[in-house]
Amino acid sequence: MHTIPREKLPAFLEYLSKGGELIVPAKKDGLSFFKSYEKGDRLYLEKGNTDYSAKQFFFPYKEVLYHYDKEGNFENAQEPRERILFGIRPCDLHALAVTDMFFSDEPADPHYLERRKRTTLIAIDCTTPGKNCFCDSLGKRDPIGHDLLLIPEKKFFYASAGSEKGKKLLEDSGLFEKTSESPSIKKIPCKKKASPVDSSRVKWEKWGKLCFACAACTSVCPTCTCFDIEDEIQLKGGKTERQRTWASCFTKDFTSVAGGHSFRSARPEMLKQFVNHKFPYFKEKFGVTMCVGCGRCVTACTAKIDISKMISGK
Amino acid sequence: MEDPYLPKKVKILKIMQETSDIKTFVVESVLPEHSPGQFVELTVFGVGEAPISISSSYPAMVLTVKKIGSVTNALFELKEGDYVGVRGPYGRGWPMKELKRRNAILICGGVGLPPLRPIIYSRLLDKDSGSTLLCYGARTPDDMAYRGELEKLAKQGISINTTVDTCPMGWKGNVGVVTCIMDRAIKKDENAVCMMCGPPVMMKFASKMLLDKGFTKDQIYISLERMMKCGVGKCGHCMAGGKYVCKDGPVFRLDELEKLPERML
Repeated sequence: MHTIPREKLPAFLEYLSKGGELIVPAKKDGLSFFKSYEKGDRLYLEKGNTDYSAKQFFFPYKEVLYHYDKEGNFENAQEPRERILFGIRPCDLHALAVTDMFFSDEPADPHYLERRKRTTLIAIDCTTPGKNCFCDSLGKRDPIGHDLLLIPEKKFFYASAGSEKGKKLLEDSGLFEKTSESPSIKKIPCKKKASPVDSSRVKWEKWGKLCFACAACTSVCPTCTCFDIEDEIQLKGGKTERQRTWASCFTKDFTSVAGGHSFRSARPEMLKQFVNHKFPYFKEKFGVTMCVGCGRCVTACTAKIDISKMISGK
Repeated sequence: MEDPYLPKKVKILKIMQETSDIKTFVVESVLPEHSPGQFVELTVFGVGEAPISISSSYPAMVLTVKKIGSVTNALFELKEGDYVGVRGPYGRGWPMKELKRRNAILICGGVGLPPLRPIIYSRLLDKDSGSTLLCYGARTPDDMAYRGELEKLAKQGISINTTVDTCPMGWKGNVGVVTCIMDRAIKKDENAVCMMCGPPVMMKFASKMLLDKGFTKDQIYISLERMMKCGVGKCGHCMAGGKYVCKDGPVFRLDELEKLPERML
């Protein structure tokens, strides 16, 4: 175990930013999110989670997969770069673990995996959950898959490496000290609890009637990865961009085929697909639930639908 | 790492007009081996991609397409010698192993015939195969794809039964939905495999009729249509009842479909 005093954090961030684009959690206009680090940024590190996850840095809202010319010659559009993601919480580490499994499943998705491979994860342990969190009910409270973990204490952070990359950061930055002590801080349990019941016992009609199908949940969800692939002709140069953008199972177009027929247009059915995908469907294939209990969809829901209650059969 | 979304550029070798809104495109065959019932993602450059079923046996790459969306509308403007993009083949096709030495009953409506077409040709090549019966419904006689070809196939021993929804004066064939001709043409057969592709409502009633005739659910295979953006089980659009129609299907056995927690037809 190592430690770093809080006042040395800016120096550590400065050090990290030399290794690539540094992404940090910040708060602006009452909303917390991840952004590219600028000197003087006030970091949002404690008290619950960020309102927006770091999903967009691995699976952007809109990305250009390829450019191609009139003759149909494709060129890869991705420019891989090194990134350091600082301040990611354990639930979002679990979310990355889930999306890693999904995108690594054959045939693997090189666009996502390339970004993942080039990102160093510096996590911060979560001591105080937000009001809608229920990660501990789903067993997603303990950090996984990080390169370095910071555990907050009043005046300093404990630091432990989770990979060779993390070990190197501890040693090479010259800002950490070895310690034989171990963290004393207590993790406050989540207020919300969830105990998933069989899909047949979930009250789809009751919750589905409330749903506006606004798709806020799927856009804040750190594990929602459905997408569209669309071509857009560029006005200059005669090139076309093949773009990938986020899609939501709460839109009628999501399941509509040429000719206009939509296979899923009733809201209870959309909700059922969303929730069943997060729980039984994903678990059957990958052994874990896709939902990490981050509670963002509960916070974002315009109809006050609470997934922790819904999946518990309430 | 191979990029599953990257298409290969192929030349259109031949175009045949089947009906006013159906054309058959023969394109260069550059993709790995495909089996009956699989599909490709087809790119029209500058427009986009759409899933299209393969209507030929390997190694030929034949795509019979109905002009219905933005990609297929643009495809209809192309000429022989032009290029398109293809990737695939994708999906689980018809149960060809299961079909050996058994009778095949093919039921389709409209543009549901193309994905069944390679089954017919594989049956002609296989001397040990049982009988092959086709029930095909189209809107009008002019909307029938492969009309000349069907006549030739009838002479080669394939039982061809066709019907139309509406017809002009002087039409001597059947009129009515496909279940009408099924009722007359199909008899209970324990040694048959039934395969169908068409509008969901047609497949719903056709499978009900087969069950009423005494066929069992494990004798009935259905090819589902869904929106498929990626073809490789990633984009999520085709997911239904926990299955990716593009990867786990598009062909499913009726009893498999009925076990899923979502209505599939």
